[in-house]
Amino acid sequence: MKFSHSKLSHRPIRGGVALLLAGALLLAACGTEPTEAPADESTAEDPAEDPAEDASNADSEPDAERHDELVVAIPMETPTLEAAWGYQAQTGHVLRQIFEPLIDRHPENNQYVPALATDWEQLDELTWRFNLREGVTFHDGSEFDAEAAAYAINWHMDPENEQIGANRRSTIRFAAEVVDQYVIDVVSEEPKALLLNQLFTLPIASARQLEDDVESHVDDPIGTGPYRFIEHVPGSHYLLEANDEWWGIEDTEDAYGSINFDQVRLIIRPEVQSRVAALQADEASFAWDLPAEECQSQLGEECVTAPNPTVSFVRLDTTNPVLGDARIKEAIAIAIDREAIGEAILGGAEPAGTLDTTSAFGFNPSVEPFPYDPDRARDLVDEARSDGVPVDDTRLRLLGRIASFAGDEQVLEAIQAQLSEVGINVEAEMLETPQFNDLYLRMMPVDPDRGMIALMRWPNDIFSTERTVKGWVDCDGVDNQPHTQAPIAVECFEETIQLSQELWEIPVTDEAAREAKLQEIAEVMFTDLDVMTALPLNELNMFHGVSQELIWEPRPDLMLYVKQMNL
Amino acid sequence: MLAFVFIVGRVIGDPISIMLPVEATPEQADQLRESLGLAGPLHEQALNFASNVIRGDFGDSIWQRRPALGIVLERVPNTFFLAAVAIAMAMPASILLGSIAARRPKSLADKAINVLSLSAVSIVDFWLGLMLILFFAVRLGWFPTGGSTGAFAVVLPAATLAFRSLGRMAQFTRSAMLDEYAKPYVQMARAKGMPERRVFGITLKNAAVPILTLTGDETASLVNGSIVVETVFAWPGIGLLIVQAITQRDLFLLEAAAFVVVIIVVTVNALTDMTYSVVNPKIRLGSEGL
Repeated sequence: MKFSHSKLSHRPIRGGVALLLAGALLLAACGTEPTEAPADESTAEDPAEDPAEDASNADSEPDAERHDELVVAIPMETPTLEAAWGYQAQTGHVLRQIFEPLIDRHPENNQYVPALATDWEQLDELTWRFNLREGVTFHDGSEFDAEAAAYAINWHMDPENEQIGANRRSTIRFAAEVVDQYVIDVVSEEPKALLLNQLFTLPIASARQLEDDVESHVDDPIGTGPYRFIEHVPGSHYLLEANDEWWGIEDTEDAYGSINFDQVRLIIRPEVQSRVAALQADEASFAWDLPAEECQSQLGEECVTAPNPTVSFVRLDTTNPVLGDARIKEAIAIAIDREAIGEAILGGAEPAGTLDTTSAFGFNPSVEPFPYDPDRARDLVDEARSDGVPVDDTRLRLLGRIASFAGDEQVLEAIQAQLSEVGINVEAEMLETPQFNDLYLRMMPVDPDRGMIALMRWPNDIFSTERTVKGWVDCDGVDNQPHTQAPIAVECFEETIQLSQELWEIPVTDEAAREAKLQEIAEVMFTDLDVMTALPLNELNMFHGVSQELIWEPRPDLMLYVKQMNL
Repeated sequence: MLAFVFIVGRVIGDPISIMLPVEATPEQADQLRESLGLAGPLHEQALNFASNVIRGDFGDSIWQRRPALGIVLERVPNTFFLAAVAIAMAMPASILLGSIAARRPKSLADKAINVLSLSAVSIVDFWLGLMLILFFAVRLGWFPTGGSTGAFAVVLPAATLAFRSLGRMAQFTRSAMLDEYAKPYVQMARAKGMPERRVFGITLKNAAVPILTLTGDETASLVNGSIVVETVFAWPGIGLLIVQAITQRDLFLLEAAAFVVVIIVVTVNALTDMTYSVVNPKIRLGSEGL
């Protein structure tokens, strides 16, 4: 069967299409102005006039006035509902409302605070003793005691149950032992200074469920938290309801929050505009993790900046004759205008002096960010060139990983332009993760001809600069795996190896000495050009959409706790 | 398509290195590789893959740790429902518009419908979806901004999908109807004084086959091409799942989704073929009447 198509008269068609498209462009150009959130339809009686000042009210009046439902828009689902996924800020939103760990972090100063444990002490280098909170029950009615806590901890540490992608505890092996009905000892195989942080990231699941019905642990989370699980509709939402048996209703001091909503609905909105629209349409009171530009331009005062223990940086292939030259390193460091990049692209991100932020143990506040000095950078490059450093004859590549952080492509382009201005010409490209990782995670030694400058981010959500030391300088330390697990740096230096070895020799009980050593290492890593392989750029922020009626203050540990929200 | 997904997923780089945190040890990487069946040579993996596909076993989703095929099948009804509503919106409107345009070619109505259909075909789904959200959900509050909860949640995503289909189908309907109107039997019917409504009915019936073919085509493309719309509206269908599988580097989930999409497309095309003889009894598949 043949079909014929009549000829269309093109001229009037083109005119009509042009008119329609022009109208469409006009509509698009109108844009969206930040809307003021209309009065909430829930039962809020006294909306706070100054959310910042009244943030403490979010947890000072425990469930005195409960509101019906809080809706939070999140970008992704947690892979499963197992407690192990609750440690990650990005995927643990729903689980952190259901499960609680032995210890938590203070919502402002990030110090460890009681949760399911009321207090703790270090008995020796391997052993921590925890006194557990009495009168706590899981959502299934079973009692939380030493037996339950030990069982849950040991279950998670069992290699058969461990999920490699879900947690980073695998490098720290420890076990819990029952001492008394409400006392446990946590014993690590080796002295580990980061043990407390690991316990902070280990939510305690119901031992009864793990013992009797472990299969249900995947999709029916049972914890001790202020909210209990009701349902999960894949791709759509999670629904939680208030746990009226929560210990925090009585013990308000240690609760650091209160139950202010009867129900919590976490709606899954992967697309940024979808989360923004949900907030603008009053379908949600909170939208997690928005890009700076969209958040600030579309939400205005409803855009809240939150701290993020992540620093952007460039890593240099210092085995390359150009990138390994101290003058070129310094030139690159001072050619990049971190303030301008932070202001124009990263929503006000501050320049960084090290790879860690102030919330990290061992942070050295005396290490300042490199200044912006393109004139000096140009002189340094000329000097190196005159001395025979093949600046112009060497292929240098500035590479980033797609979706590494919001604005990464613009940052890459800005750096390329700024380096070009001082005489360092680089090819810039954003790569897909597999291609980038093949280059970025290459084992030592790195080919000297490679000439890669890698733009990446360093997330330190264990809040200790020890992680940075392990990742960047520990080429031959206590955790030595001789060059089979390469540190992130491409080259190791005797000086920093020596310092890291000195660190590992300090007893884990001597916090002051460890902190001093970590600060010393940071100073060397980020001021001594001879051993420098990474140049910190900016302390990245997170941006969230927060309804004007919602009282909430961001936490330095990135965690989102509904118990710290109120209307 | 399955072979394409299989090969691409394994040759673009080591999927294990993407799945694990940076500080994972080589031993952990090997362990994970072994457990996921990604350790052997490629031809071995291909054979295992082929034999598993025959049994409908795509392994467990690396992301959600449960059978990948089950996860995909959970989403199928949502995508079907969305596509069905979109076609239900587009088809009657496109037949009406195409028929009006064909009935009076080169008239003002015909030109206006041509402009509308060309615009609909040219429009970008992503932008249209966001505009609909902005006006109808945020500004007017008539519909939810996304998700699948509530009776009206399907309206905006379906309308977004339907708009382009409407443009294509209206153009095609016009063309098919014009072809029929040009045939001698129509002129004869009119000369004999047959009411125009009856003439329209007969020509539409004769033009139904090509229109149905396109409708089936559109339905299949809506099912497998709704990725953008499902993402914009957070509609929990196969399209959104594919995006999430790519984001999570979940190879097995991607393979299962590709398989289901292929099956759906084949099924829709087969069903379309079967409706020909129902719509127009003169057509019998394989008969001499064709």
